[in-house]
Amino acid sequence: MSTRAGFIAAGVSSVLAAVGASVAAQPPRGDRAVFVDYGCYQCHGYEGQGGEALRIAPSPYPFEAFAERVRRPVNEMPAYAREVLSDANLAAIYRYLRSRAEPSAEASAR
Amino acid sequence: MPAKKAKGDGANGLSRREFLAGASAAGAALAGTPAATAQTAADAARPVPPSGARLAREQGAPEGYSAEEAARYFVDDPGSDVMVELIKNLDVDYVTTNAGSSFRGLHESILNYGGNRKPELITCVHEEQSVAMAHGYAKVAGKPIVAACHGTVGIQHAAMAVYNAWCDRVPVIIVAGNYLDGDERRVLEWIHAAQDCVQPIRDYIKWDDAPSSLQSFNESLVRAHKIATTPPMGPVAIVADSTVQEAPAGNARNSLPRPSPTRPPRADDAALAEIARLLVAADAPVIVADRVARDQAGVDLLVELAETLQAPVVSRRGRMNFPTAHHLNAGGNATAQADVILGLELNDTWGLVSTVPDHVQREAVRIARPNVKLVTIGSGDLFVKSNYQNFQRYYGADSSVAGDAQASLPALIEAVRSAQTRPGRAALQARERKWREARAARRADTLRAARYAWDASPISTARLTSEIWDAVREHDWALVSEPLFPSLHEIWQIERHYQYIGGSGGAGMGYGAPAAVGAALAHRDKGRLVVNIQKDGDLMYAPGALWTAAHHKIPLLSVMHNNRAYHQELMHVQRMAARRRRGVDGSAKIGTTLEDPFVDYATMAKSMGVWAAGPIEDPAKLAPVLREAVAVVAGGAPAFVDVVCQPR
Repeated sequence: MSTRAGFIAAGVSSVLAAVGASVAAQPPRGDRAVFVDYGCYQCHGYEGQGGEALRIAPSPYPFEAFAERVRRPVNEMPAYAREVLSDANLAAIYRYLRSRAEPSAEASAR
Repeated sequence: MPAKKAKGDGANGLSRREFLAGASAAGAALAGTPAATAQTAADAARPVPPSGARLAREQGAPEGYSAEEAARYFVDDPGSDVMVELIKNLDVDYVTTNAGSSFRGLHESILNYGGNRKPELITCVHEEQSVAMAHGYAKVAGKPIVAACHGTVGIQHAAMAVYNAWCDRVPVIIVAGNYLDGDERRVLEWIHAAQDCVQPIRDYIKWDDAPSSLQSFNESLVRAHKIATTPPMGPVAIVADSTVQEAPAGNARNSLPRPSPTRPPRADDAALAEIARLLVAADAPVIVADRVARDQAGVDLLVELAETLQAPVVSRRGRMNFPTAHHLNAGGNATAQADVILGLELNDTWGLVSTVPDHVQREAVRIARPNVKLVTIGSGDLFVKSNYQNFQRYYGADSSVAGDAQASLPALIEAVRSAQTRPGRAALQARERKWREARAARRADTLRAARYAWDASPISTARLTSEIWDAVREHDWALVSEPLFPSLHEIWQIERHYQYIGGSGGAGMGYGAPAAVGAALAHRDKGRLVVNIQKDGDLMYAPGALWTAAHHKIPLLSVMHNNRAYHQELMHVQRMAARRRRGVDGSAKIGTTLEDPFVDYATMAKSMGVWAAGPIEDPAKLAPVLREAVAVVAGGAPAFVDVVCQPR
């Protein structure tokens, strides 16, 4: 429990800072590439629209909850440790999801 | 060298030719003898003269040949003609086959004795295709056809498709050619002969036999048909010895065994009354149906039961069991709230109450209420084999009743009505309101979710689903595949039994395309617009089915869900990499994706004579292409559209 709390306290604050700092610094294409390279699209779709797993875009959980679910998922999702998915790349993925547009008015499944 | 005595001769010891020789003097007198058909096996030992019509055809020796020469060069009334006669008696419309020398006699008899009509020979390019076509056909037609295979190499090619049919409880009659008599075999025939050629598939068929006489073959074929079509249904295999096919029939022609289908077993009345009392007393009953409905009557009965109880139905989609738009069509999570679950023809009973998440520690997690009562009706327990584990994990149900679910539903409905009391009506009405609201909310959620990534490329599966639905909904359509994206079952309004046939059963790749072509063959005479949403990885196993569709003019719209991967496996490898904290940034694609180069499926389909378009990557182009493809199919030909899609 203490380890988990510590992770959130230390990790989330620094990652949140990274989200804010790098939104302007990193081009959107790079964020998408990270999202794809790390295989998020496999279950959530290229737009985060859901498929095998839940929709996670364009309004994902608040970052703290998002990061917690990536690091310590509660369901079938694999856990992504910091060694393989850095905080910076996690932040890039989050930025990508937030950048997705809401559906257009013309979009309509019948 | 003296001619061999024909196998299968009657008890009188005369060969067919000898019998004919003796009978020739009396030929005129026999001319009016009616054909002796549809006799029972008990009549088999009694020698019966051939019909007058047949004698008239066969008495004449070939012009210019002595009797000895004729015996050396020609065969009259070969055994395989009788096999065809019997196949006709069994109401088998087609024989799917990739040609093989071990059943050349049967092949020729289908064409020239049977006139290639009922059964008609369907040319396949792989035995896996032959059996998968028979699998898909049977689920639409409600009756089996024959898949003729070379006994050794053909059976081994067919094995995966046989396993799918076994898991899916579908009757397929496999006729395997073989060379039983080593004294007669030529060089290659030794390589293609076996003591027991059905051995590779015996673990996943219901029954098999290797008869050495025509009479025995006939009886075994009829028995095989009977066993295959008795619930729980499944594939069977009969060896057709090449000598028996090619030698004169002897008296076996005159003692064709009569088909005697077995009526599906009905559950015990007392057990049904007990189940009815439980369901009526429940606050939250849920019905779970897997391979239940054999036809529209089964769907109608399930609707009647559900409405009588106002109990939601969760279809496991082994068959089309319940209309998707019905207010009692529920999502899988309905079972978590149930206090009584009625499982019908379940394959996985344990899976209703527990699951094993794919975590490092494989620990079972309860998903049903702790005190839920689970009762089952089904035929699965009546026939189980041990090696392959498709019977799933054991669960001790509160009541497990043997019987075919569809056959048992009328009595169960009656028992439920008898157990219901007047004061219970208010509760039923409240339950109906609840499920109507839940059904409407779920559909609205699905349609809302489908709008996300609507314009994305690769094309979203929800967009794909919607566009195909728009293209076919005004037609008399039928879906003959099992797309893995759940939006389909919300967006498409599946109402009739024939509109959906479930999946492969065994999850063995290579089922999709040939089973769809087989199903489309069964739909062809009805003039329906048949749709196959085809997985790309699956098509790579048996693409030749497209050629068969073109060759036999089988109308079928195949729309490729092309995610350019064996995507399930990609996710598995990704999971392993994440679990081991390495390589999650791309290595999982090696060995799991179909790229570099991409496969040009449309060109492949065109090369087989199929109208084709694609790859379609722009979602805006999908609707017009689908309209064009539908027009092709409506004109009586297959069409293929390759669509580059999101994974799921």
